[in-house]
Amino acid sequence: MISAPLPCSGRADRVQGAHFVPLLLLVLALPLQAVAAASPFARDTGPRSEFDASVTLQLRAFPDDGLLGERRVHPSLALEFEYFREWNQGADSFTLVPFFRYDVRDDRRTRGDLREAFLTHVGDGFEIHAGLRRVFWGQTESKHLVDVLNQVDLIENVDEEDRLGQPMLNLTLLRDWGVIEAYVLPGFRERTFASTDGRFTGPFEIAEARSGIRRVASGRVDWALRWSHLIGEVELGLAWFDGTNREPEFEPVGPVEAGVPIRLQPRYRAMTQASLDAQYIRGDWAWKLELLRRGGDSPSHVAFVAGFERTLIGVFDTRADLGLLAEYLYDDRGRRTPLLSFANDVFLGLRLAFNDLADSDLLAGVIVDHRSGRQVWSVEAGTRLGQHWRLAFEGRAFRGARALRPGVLEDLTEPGRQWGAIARDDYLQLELTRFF
Amino acid sequence: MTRGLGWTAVIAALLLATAAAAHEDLAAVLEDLDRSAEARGQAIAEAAERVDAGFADSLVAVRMVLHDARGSRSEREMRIATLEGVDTGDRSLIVFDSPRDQRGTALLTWNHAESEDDQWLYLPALRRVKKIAARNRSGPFVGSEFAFEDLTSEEVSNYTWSYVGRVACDERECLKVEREPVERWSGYSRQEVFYDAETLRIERIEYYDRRGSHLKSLRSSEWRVHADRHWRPGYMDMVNHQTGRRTELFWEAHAFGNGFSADDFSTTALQRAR
Repeated sequence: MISAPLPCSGRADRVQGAHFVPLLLLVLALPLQAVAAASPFARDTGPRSEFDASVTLQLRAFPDDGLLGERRVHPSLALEFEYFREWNQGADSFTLVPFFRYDVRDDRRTRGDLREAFLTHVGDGFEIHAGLRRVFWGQTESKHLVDVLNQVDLIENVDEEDRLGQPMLNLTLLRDWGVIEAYVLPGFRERTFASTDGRFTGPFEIAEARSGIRRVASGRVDWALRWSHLIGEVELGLAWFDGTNREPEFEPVGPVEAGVPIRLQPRYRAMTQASLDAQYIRGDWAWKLELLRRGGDSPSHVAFVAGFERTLIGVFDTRADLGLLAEYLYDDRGRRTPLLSFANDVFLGLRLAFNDLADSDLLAGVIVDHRSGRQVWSVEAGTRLGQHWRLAFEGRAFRGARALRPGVLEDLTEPGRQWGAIARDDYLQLELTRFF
Repeated sequence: MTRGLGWTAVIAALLLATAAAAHEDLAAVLEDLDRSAEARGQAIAEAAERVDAGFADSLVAVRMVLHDARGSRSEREMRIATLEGVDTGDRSLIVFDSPRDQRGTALLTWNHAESEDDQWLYLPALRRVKKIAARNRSGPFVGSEFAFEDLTSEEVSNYTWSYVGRVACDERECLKVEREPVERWSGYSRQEVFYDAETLRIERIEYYDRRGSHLKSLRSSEWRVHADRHWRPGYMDMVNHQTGRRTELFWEAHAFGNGFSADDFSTTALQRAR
């Protein structure tokens, strides 16, 4: 649910392993059928266009000053547009999603991004997507462990759910024995981090992400392959990724002095990732699992998230549905995890859907490291006002970790203290969105 | 072209004959006093299913008007595509168009006669497809007085049936049947279903909750017919007697025979349904 940067060093030996040639051959060998199955909603109509827009006023309030004296109130304004056009009875379409934010405090958060800009062709039993696109993989709720294609837009939100558009050529095949997705990923995008005026960066000054599309770490082309299928009541996904690790490692650069923020340079290395994600639904129980093994330039490791969600309908004699969530988060790097991650943590949460006219909902949870006692609390809630407005509340609190001191490297190696980087970044956030 | 029309006419005549035969069989069954109420109830449900079989697929836009007990009102718009199952249950895809904060949300359902249905929700903000538990189908559907189980197509094997008798339905005559859901997760103990005696379309349903109390009433009207046998209501009104809430559905004319395929009702199609 939360991650923030911390320094670590990794091995520099490089693994050569981009076998994307078979994938390219697969793409080229496609049958080029003209018209086939498209969207059921696009038949017998001419070309169709849709345009959506939303404006969001966001206000973040922090009870404490940041470790570097960052301000307590952070207002910002975001615009998102979505343009969609389809023709050829829905067999061909184009999607464009530009996003802009103006942030009063942090210049880096004032920026624009193309979330998506891609062409789609749908044929008989296959789909092709080309361009900047967002693709989600996974099943668990506390962390999206195996979801690897898109870079995290961390400056938007520390919950890792905002993602940057990834340049890709994607071929999807629909077969009786499952769905095959093949991806060629030419180019890589760096993770976004707040400046020293923004929050959630601890006592560090993290070098600004170079904007736009960068060369991949291996110097070749990144690629990925995924198979997914519904077998009885089990949804199963197996994936292989060979490319640039979206999680950076951090290298201190420049002099280290007490009282002065340590400057960090993010480095992105090549990696391979084998992953499995599964969900088994039985009655009102949904059992979830995400598991991965990463290798490549850094020492290999294994991580998983596993748990369940139980949904109770009409609780306490009301219209509301209550979901009870519990997950275990494991990472075999333990305290050596390069990020503020969860190595031996328990997540407990509840989800309330009020089933009212305003679609009100609430998701609350805590992730506890049962060894150190460190806790990450979070609440998200929302409700619609009239037909065009939505009000959303979000709050997070970080407990049980002592704050890091600026310019003191020893703090970083003290076990369990990494989370101290954001110990003073508890916040409450209100968002008011107008939809057009 | 003329030849094609000729064949269409022949097929239509055959279908009509089948429907007429179904009615005759049913009349004979209902008058056969040796048969149990259960057998007669099931015969009605099966005859209704036979009459509507062969619709192949349909596409419709719906406006939902929700009223709460204090008189507040809210509207939703959605489009529903349905594919008739051949060896499997029906499949349906629902896309929500309004309110705008819900726009792009979509729901895919694979009905199964013998096991729990499969259902996936598409969350556009995360570009995420999420499979959801079938039990969610007994809760309020998008905040309305309809549960999802009220809206999906009727599978005969989802209930045990019992024929009650012929009753008056406004100006018309109805066959009243009681049914009990087989599914453990259903929100109902039983339902009273009123089939129009002539067309076998469902005019009215009375719902009883798990405790046996009268919960809701559904009335359908403004009927339209396609190919002389596929009856669809233009208006539905669901009233919750326990809460005083109410939901109205305004259905646009259905388009049939759109040529949908199973691939249109896949989880990948769900991601680009709009």
